[in-house]
Amino acid sequence: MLPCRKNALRGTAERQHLLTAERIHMNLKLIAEQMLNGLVLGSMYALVASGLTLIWGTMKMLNFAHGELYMIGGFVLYYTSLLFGVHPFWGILLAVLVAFILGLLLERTILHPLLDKPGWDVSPIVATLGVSIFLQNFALKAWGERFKNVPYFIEGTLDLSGFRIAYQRILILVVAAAVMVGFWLYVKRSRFGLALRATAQDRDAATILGINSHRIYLLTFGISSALAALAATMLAPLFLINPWMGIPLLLKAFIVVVLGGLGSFGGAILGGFLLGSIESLAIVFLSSEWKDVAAFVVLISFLVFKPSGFFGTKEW
Amino acid sequence: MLIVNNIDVFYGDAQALWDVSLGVEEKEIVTLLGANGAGKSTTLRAISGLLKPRKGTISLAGVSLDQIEPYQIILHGLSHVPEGRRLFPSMTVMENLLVGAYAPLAWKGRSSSLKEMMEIFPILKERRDQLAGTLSGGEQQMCAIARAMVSQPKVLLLDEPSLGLAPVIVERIFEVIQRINQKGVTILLVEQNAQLALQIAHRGYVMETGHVVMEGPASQLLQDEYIKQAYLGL
Repeated sequence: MLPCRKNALRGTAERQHLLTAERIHMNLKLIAEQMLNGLVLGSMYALVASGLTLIWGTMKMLNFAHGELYMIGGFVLYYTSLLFGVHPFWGILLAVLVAFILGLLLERTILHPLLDKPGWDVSPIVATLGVSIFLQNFALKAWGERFKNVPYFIEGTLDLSGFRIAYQRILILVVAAAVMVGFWLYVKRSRFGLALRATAQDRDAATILGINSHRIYLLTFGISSALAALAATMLAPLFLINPWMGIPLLLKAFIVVVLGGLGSFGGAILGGFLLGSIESLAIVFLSSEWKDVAAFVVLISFLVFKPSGFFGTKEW
Repeated sequence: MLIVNNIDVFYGDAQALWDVSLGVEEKEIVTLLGANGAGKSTTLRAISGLLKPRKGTISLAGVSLDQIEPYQIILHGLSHVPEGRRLFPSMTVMENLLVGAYAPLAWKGRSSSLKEMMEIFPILKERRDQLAGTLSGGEQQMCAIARAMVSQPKVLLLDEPSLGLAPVIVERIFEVIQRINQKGVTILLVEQNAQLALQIAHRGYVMETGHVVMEGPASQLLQDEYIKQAYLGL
């Protein structure tokens, strides 16, 4: 009787042990999957924020219409797929192109006239805020308030012994990495990149060496807008397309830019991945409603303890 | 070659230059002397287009510099080493020099002009991959001169190249300025160190509170009683 009971007891303990192990395994898998999701989202935050930081770095202004250029990118993708039924690649290309041209137009018509006038520290904020409101309402009027859905570019999930990730998310990571590395190399190596960095660091010195800073500003705006639109098209299948989709993303991009240091390209990338990871960990350990709280707690702590961010410039 | 004709220059509403005229002949070294705030740097900034004169004209070999965009001035063979060097601090020495070669023609000939600069300033060759912001004052000044020279200018404007440098380094820099001049480059030199400037210059102008008050051959200015008292501390 006695040994038998002992055996039974041992059995329960073992089962308990096994159950705990399985639970830990499950949890680890969940955390790993969430971390990867965080990186995927973070890569897009990085892309949007790098456009913001690029404009700050060269023109010393904040673009509050950045989120709406992102939104326009989403709509262009949606309507090219809907109207022409072509492969999403063409929609992405068109979205990037449209955003680039819109960026050029915005710079020439709205910002260029304000440049070098007194009040440059405030006037672009007001002006771009106006553009942002206009574009939101334009989208509402033209395309309606219904949320729009874009299918995944690639269906299916990669399954690595129980560890699952959708191909769409892998695609996002790959595109983000390729664009960021490509852009970084371009800025470091090309003649245009040299001129861009020179203008950002000392505009007068760049001017007397033959660099047309107005042209640099124009192209900076175009490139920045194109990056935002690219992020929107990549995220479109995960989120819904609507006139207000740019608002939360712009807020996130501002957090990223503060974490990384205003004007720092590397900082925007690091900050993007950091924010994505923080949000996904908050989802695992708290709940999804708490992810923004976690993000803003980190933002506020940075503002208190390290206001210049990771790579903040001394000018800050 | 370079002619500044009766210019008035303002910062906002504050007038900084009154009726300033000066001329620099080909292959000359001309120095612009004067105390702090006399308007020397303002004159150079007006010549290189960073400030637009409200009155008067500036021309270089027949081209009206005050009529063209500031970034086009270097294309006409005028290069400016600004006050305080104004290097791009987060770029390497090599990148700074490459920006100097940004103008299309200079970009094509950059390999030979960069090599030439490395010969004139061997220290820059050693420091080529170092960030410009981490150089010593003397090295920064050499880098700034080299950056202005890679565009192969006909006229070089130098604003206080001796500022904050040890006497040995200043001597070295002034030797280089003379060497550049002997290669056929016309030089307009702004200096606080009047003694040194008048030693290498052919002619000089003296500015006070936004006006040109005196001009003449360097040797004559060196002997002038007023100059001796006011600028040479004799």
